[in-house]
Amino acid sequence: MDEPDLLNEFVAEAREHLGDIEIQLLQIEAMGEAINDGLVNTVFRAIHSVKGAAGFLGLTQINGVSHRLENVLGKVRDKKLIPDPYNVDVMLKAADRLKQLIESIESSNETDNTELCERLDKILDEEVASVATADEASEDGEAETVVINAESEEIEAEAASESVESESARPSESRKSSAKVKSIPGKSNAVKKRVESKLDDATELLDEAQGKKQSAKAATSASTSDSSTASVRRATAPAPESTIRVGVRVLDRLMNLAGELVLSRNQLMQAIAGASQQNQAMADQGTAASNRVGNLDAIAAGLDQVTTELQESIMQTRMQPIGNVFNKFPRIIRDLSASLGKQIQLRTEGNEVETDKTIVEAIADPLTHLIRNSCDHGVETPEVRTAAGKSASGTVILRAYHQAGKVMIEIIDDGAGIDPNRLKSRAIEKGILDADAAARMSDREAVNLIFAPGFSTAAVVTDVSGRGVGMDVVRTNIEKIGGGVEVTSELGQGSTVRITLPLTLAIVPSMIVGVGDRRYALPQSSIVELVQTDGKEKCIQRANQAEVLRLRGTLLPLVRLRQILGNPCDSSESDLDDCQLVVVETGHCKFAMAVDRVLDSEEIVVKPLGRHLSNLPLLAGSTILGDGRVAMILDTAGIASRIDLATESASDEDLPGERQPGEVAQDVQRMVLLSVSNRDRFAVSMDIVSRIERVEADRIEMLGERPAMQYRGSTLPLISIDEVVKVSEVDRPKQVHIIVFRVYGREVGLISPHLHDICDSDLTSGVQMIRDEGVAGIAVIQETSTRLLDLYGLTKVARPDWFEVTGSDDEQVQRSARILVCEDSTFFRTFLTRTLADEGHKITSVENGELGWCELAEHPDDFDMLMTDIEMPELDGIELTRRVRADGRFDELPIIALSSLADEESTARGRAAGVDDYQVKMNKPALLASIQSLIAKKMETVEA
Amino acid sequence: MSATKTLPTESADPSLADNASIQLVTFRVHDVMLAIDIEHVQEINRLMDVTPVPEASSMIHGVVNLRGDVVTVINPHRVFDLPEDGDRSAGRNLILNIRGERIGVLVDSVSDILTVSRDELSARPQNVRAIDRRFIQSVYLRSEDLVVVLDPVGLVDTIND
Repeated sequence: MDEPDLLNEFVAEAREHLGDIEIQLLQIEAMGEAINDGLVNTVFRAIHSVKGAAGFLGLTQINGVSHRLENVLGKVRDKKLIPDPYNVDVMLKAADRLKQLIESIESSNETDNTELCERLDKILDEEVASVATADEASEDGEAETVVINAESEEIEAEAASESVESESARPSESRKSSAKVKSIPGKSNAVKKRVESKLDDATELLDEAQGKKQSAKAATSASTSDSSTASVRRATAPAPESTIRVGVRVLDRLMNLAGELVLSRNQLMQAIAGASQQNQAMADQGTAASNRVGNLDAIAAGLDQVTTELQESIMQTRMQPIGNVFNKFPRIIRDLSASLGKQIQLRTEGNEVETDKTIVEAIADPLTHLIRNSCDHGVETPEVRTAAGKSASGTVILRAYHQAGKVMIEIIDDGAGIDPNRLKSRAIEKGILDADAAARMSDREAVNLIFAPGFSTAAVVTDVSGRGVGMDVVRTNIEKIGGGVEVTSELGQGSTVRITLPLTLAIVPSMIVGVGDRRYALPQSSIVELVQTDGKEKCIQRANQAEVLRLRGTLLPLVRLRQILGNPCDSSESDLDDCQLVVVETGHCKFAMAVDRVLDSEEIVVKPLGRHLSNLPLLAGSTILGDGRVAMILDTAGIASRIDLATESASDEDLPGERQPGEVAQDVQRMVLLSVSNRDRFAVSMDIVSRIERVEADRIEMLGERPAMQYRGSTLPLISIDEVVKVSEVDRPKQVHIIVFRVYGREVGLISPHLHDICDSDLTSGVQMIRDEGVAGIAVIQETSTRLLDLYGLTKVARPDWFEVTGSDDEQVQRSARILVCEDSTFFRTFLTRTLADEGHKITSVENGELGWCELAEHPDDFDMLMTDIEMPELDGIELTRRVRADGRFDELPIIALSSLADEESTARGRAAGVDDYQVKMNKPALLASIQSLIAKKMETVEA
Repeated sequence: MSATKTLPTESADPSLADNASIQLVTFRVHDVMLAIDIEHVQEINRLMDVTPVPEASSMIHGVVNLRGDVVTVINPHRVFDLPEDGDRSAGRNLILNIRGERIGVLVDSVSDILTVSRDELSARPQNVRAIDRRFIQSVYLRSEDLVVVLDPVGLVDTIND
């Protein structure tokens, strides 16, 4: 090993030794008099190793500082020095200095560390006597070192057993012997190093032996000698956990290769799928199908599985615990508390949560900023806290955990919280928001204004935070690595900042879009929705020079990728309306991109571009697609900054008041896509599906005219779509999917010959209503016109007998109600009106909450019930409910909130606002039942 | 699929490995005969599917997939301001290794590998008009023509500016 190698090795090792020292010193400080021997020894040993190696390599300054720090630590360990904030401060400074010196190892000898050394010496000198004895001790015993050198193998066992006999002698022993090693004159360096390392080993083993012995002692006091000898023997065995240091470059290369393997696998799977389809066709024609393809299938499946596992394992090697970042915060909080005159305690949770190395590194700065922010703006001074009835010392909790394949980090403080009204007025002052928009803005959104560019709320600009360039940069940096950040706050109680991070950066779920003859990848994290224009609610308009997309009452800047990317290969100006639109959001900017085609969604492996191309603003990198061709990954932030310049003038002059930053209501329905043949596509709302089963087609039996299936010990009635709905033909594959749903207390299965996908689809508009039995409407989903099935209608037609029975029961209590329906989606509005009118209710429907409120306020006695969607433009369902409840006239008015997804949080929010019941839009029976019970209840109250 | 020809990194003939001689890969760009020290050449490939890069320098032809790595390909016609040949059938992608990064050079044809003595190379004569002097390392005078030996590092760095 030559000199530079040795030096690199030293740096790597020293980094490891010093990695946790900050935390450890702080722990030592916190424990004060109650010194934890193990902990102090760990730090001592780390510094000792650095000192030894530095001396060996002739790094005099590192050697000098570490030598003194070691002595101070020795004094702490010998209980001759009680750790207090002052001396720990000096120790921390020394540790910092050592880290600095190691990072610039080449110039370390030229640095001047006299002042620091003097401060360390001063701590030492406070009790001179003990130091003198330590020095004396290292005078003798040169002969012993030679023994270690010659019989190094035996010394381990010997030293270990020695420690068992006299534990108190051990620490000074090891220190003594290492000092001796350095003093051997004329020995070759190699020998010295060997002895050093042997000694280190021995010291480690000593500790282990001691630890084991102590635990053994505690366990059984009767057989002390027996158990201790046993543990000594065990201690000499090699360490069970073996690790190896691998260069990041090697891992990156491995990662790349695994990515390639994934691509090859994808290609293979495609080829095999193609082949087996052909085979199937041949089999259908009566040709004897070879089982070769069947074999291939199995092999491919095996390869598929191994590849996936391999990729996961390699990804695992890049994973690092988030604790690597968290560990630096105790120190920051300690220093901040002092400089801000506050008492702040930090609690970290989930240090062990792992994420990609790149992400761990990238999150450090944003986290530091957020923590500083919590301390500066969040936690109050002790006086303020006590006055507010809180404990004088504030707490900041830093918590990491996994959720839904993502890593979540929360920064929670119990400080003053954020005042949404102050933020609003501040935003108006700074011109970020106009008064109208501010009035419309909910508290939750207002609190997130802190992430707007050029925002700083600190009354006094401090050096800790409040330079006004912080939070938007934090947000941008987090979004750069595919994450997101959000803040919630309770005034007077504290705030929570929640960061969402991806597990890995190497593989990015993306949408592949086509522009001309080229394909580009667009990371899914930036995509808000795909839009098909319909000329009415969604259409492209021209404003001055720029094009905009009108989308549900909002105007979004529109950029044509063909123009911005410049495609010289095909200059033909294609039909401007023949395009698909992708709405993307990046930072505070939301805009639409026109592409020729949306092709596919794919998990892509990011490949860096060469240095000539790495700084192009529109590109975030490249990837290799399934066919082996390279595709560029688009950088939405880069594109956004490009169009900001282009559309600024247009949107400001021509569209005053029409811009609503970021606020677009979404009605996303999760749909199951299925088909009976390649010409007949259907979709079913996932909300009403209980589960989906794959079964062999021959398990379906006919009970009379009707199909059914033996299932979990009972008979499951089945419905075939073609019983009710007109289809061109029905495929009969060997395996079918059964979509199980409940209707009027019965489980029913819908036979689905082909199941394609489960996707989130925006049904707010673009759905045509048709009056076919069992069909709610037609929409374009995934570029295919798809019929949306109304499972209840379908069942009613297919099995009318079921409804006769329940129908007669219900008739006695059936009441007709006058209902006001607020729903922005044309499709759902029509669907609800029709469905409820069929049941004998009188329906008035409006498009948003504002109109709903006008209607209700003008005709307060015309309605028995309000039914409202939650997500709507202008005035959403929650605000509408609040407004209604605030008005004395409507105390008794039942309110049903409709939602596509009734998660607990929004349900709770709705109930708090005064909603009586929550219902899923497509779940007709439950909805009808809810109407009946609420109307009945209202009648009772009125009558009473 | 692209046929890959991996070049020997060390000469089999020990007499050629000494410092006195140098091996040059010669190739043609339009009508200019050029050469690059074999030390910098990793491999020679047939032309592959090139993906153009929006907003990149015009000297950059695009990127290709080289066994899973995305490699930038330079168009020397644009660098040297030479007309492009219509027929690319004999074209090759010369993959260079410059400071650890692989970079392709789109050439019209690859001729052969010359072993020449360093004494035979003359430093940048005035009479080379076709190629900017910045890219020239030296010139080799053959009996019938003149081969311009390129400085690949200079070539690659120039594009950055």
